[in-house]
Amino acid sequence: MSFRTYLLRRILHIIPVMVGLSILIFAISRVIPGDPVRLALGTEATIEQVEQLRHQMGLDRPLHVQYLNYVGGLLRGDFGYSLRTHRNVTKDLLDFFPATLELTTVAMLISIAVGVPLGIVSAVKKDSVGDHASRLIALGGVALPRFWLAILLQILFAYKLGLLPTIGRGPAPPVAITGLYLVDSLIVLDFRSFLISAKHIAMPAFALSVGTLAQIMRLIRASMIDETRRDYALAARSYGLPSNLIVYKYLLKNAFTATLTIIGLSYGFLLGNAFLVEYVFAWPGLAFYGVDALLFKDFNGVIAVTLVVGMAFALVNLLVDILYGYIDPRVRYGER
Amino acid sequence: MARRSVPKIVLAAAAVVALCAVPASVSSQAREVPFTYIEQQIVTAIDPQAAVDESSLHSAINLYDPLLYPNVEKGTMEPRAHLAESWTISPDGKTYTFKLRRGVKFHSGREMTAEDVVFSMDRALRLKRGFSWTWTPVLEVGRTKAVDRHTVRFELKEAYAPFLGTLLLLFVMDRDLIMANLRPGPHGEFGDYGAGMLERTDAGSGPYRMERWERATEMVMARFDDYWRGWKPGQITKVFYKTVMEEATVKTLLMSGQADMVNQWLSPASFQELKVPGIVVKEDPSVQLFHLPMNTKKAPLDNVKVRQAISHVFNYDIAIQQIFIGATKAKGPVPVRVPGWNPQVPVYGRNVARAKQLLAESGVRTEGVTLEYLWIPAIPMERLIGLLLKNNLEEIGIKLELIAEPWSRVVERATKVETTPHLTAIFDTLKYPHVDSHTYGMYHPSCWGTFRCMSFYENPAATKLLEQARRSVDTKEQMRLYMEAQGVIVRDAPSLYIANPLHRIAFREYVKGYRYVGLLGFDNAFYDYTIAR
Amino acid sequence: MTTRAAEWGKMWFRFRQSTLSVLGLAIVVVIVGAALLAPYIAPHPRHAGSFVNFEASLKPPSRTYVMGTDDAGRDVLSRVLFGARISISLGTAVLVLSVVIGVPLGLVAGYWGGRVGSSIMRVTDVFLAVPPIALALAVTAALRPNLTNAMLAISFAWWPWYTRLVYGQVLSIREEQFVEASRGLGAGPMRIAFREILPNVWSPILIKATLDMGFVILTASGLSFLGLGAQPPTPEWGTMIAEGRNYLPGYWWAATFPGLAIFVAVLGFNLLGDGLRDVFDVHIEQWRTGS
Repeated sequence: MSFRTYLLRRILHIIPVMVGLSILIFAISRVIPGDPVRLALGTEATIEQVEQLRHQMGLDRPLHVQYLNYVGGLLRGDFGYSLRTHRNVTKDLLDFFPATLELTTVAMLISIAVGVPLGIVSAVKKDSVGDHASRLIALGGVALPRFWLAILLQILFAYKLGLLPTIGRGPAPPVAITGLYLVDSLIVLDFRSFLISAKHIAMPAFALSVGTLAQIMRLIRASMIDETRRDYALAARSYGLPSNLIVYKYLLKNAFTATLTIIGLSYGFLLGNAFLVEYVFAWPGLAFYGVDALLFKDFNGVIAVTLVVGMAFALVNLLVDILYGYIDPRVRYGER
Repeated sequence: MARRSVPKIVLAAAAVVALCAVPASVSSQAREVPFTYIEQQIVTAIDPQAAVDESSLHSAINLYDPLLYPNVEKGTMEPRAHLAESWTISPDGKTYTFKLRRGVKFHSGREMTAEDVVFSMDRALRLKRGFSWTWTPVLEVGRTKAVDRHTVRFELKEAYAPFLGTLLLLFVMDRDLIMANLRPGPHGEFGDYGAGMLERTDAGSGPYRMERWERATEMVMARFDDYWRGWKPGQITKVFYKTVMEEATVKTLLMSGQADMVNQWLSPASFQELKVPGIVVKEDPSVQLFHLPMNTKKAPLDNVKVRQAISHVFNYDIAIQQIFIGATKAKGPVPVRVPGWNPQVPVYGRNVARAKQLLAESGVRTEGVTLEYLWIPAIPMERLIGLLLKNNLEEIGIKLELIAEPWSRVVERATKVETTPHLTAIFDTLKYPHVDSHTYGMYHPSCWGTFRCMSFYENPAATKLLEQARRSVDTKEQMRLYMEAQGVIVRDAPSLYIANPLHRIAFREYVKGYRYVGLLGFDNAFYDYTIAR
Repeated sequence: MTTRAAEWGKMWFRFRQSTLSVLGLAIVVVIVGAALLAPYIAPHPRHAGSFVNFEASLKPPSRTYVMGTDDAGRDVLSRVLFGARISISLGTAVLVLSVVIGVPLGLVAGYWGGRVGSSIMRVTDVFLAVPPIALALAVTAALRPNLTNAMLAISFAWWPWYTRLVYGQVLSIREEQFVEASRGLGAGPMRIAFREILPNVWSPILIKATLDMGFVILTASGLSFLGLGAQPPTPEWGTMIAEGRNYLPGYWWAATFPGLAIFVAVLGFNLLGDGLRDVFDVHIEQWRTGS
């Protein structure tokens, strides 16, 4: 199988999943009890007004027609009208998505920067005190209720120590290019803005990263222990190569391919946690928007967030698979 | 988009830096007086005619001017002159004529005229959103007329007791600005009536203009230099209005000095915690009613004796002293400080024997009956009240199930008798400064389907009294009728009347000029505050 | 001594080698013990129910109330102990439901394959395309908020992970000798799937379930945090954090102890699961789930 065919096949696989997801979430949103139109118009709206908006939004048509209309809109990049924000959901997504992208990316970087070394130490010094300590730290991280940790961090760093701002993303840097504040401020070399943004993102990103960090640490450890048992490591050792060299040269290389997969896989974990972390830090991201849409029964908002999260997850995994298939041709032939 | 406009953002950034990172550098921004306010409820709309909740009204009150204003200087809610300088009322109570103030400028720089008032009222009546329901019984498009450039007249269909009070909510909008920014919409020549534009910015004459609105997180409002009431040193020049939902986070922001004032929705225990040097917790007896409307159309609460039994078994003292920590016991639906409250209204007290007797007389068997109590998770006190009620009801053999749902869902369940729960926890603040709000507005069948009328109360005697009161021109007679109606209603026990809670708010001690008004949102008119560091 | 007993003995020996695994087991035993014995060991058992005593609200830890009291004047320790009951039963219910739905589907998809199998896996992929908590959130929005519905919503998002796990396991063993052998003996597909293959995939299922227990508890507490889970006066840990969090930092005990309980429980199940995995030497894709 050529790389191109592999790529194509991988991309085509996403389509049925996304179609299925859209049907599933569309169905869920339509059984949500109550009348979102009535909600949107407020307590005093007349029955005629409610019916008029319902008609405008096509909610009086049969379900399958509604679904097809919705998908038709999606293909034009139109996620429909939000009953919560009273504007097109597409606009909302464009406003909220960069914040989530920035937050999850920074959290992922922290997880890798801490998780990988911990995993290596743990594997190399298996069953030592260091191994136990790093496993405890990692598993402890996973076990912390995220929203609880978030509140404790706020009390410690913002209130007791006064080091970091409690909530929000801070002011936007002077020029909006990517919508990622850290990147935008660097592009124009505005280090002051960069520092402000970094201070704002520090706590939420850390709170978000603890779980993923643990997952990464655990998998690095497991895969490295596996590798030490493999033939080539044994062979290398029997050639009398110093064990440090084996660790760094052979095992690490393999560990990094493993890390690559893990990044893709734990991205879903990260996005899931973002739902509670963004809420506590009033981080103006997609998950914050999603929870609000959910509590307000804004079904177009709920569908859009779920689809975008699913899409982001699928794309990250696609990217990882492509890289992986590129590095390791065996994958393309379905050996993995 | 405001975000792209460089100079404003630099200013905003500088201000936020000053706030968040280096408090000492404030002095370098000598002219700027920033202020950060924290609200736990999302601002749903910045179009004043779409606003229904307190947070949305905050935007309207600061960005716009209403025709009349509550007399905050005298410490009352009575309407006083504002955009209107004076007014006359015809003897039959149907025609109201207002003389408008001259020289009031909109943020666009244009002078406000009678045409703008006509435009604003007609817009409200056509859009039928927000508080338009207070006018629809007596006005329709065409009944508001510009007599001359500075005179406006309302010709009501019939006399309407609370009319002056409702004009506190008539925020006057810049007609020309809106007409110049119309988009296609369902209102004919008026297109979308400016709804699109008013999602981003304002069209008012108020002390502040909208600088930036980041949906669901932050609203930044900057001083309008040409405001007709003028400016003095120390007044706030820039308001950062932030939405934060977590109670612990809200406290952290105020205690660490990242916020200057936080909203009223914290629990009494949290306000207790905030009583530390540097922070003022201001407590005022409120004109709010906390009650549990009982669905009178749902068995077994359709039996008046069962409702009375419940009213007698609840432990009011614990609720007032230990849950609300300092509240006045509610005496009927009208908060005791509101003119028109009936001091002779019957009051239910805890009397378990009486409750048991009433239940026996009702003939209703309570075995296996579970009542549903609806509360919103954002307000912990409502949970505690539910727990207390659950305990008390067990004494007469009735089970209670507590169900938490977000406010939006409460509003939605209120639309039908079948979906409305047996009991719901409701905080009801006066909507306009008139006893009518808490009588007619809660117990006249015309309001069924709204969260204010979850009792679905129906008693022809009460209905008739309320209708007569509303149409009555003689103030004395009018008040007598409203009082009589209160007596009739309370005897039927359509709600469990619990408390007129204390209104609490907390701010840093250098914030001066805060005063409690009682009317939804008006105490957060940031123009009234000064900063004395 | 039978070889089977010897096998178990060996495994137990290997398990004991790891201090952390033993710690995990100890924690789990304590928590399950607390869940079973709560009515007998709780100092104020009535406080787990609809009892209120507002005069004693938000009292700091003392001899009478070892973990202090909450905003309704109830003993936090007693509620934490009863909370173990609720969390463990909720977790068990979710996992049993996920196994009951997920495992047969995985078996069918893996063993039969073909159109049925690939349709099952397509549907599974759809469920796996979003983080479980996002899906559970969407489902709870459609239901009345209470403990049972939170359990159903989480199960709705959880079963596909078991389908996927079993599917992978079945693919890897369906060509093995013992399966071939019984096929040769004329056993029907039902019999092979449930009698021959299923017993061989139990250990990964159980290990995954152990690890998942913690994540289910975390997810449920997340739903409760948003007010979509257990309702008062239920002493569910997540609900207790949700109720106590408003009183942080001043009255820290109301939210801290239930938070610690969750932390310890999840840690215990994770350590135990990890230990079991090492002993049985199986690989499962655990990392994608979680709250």
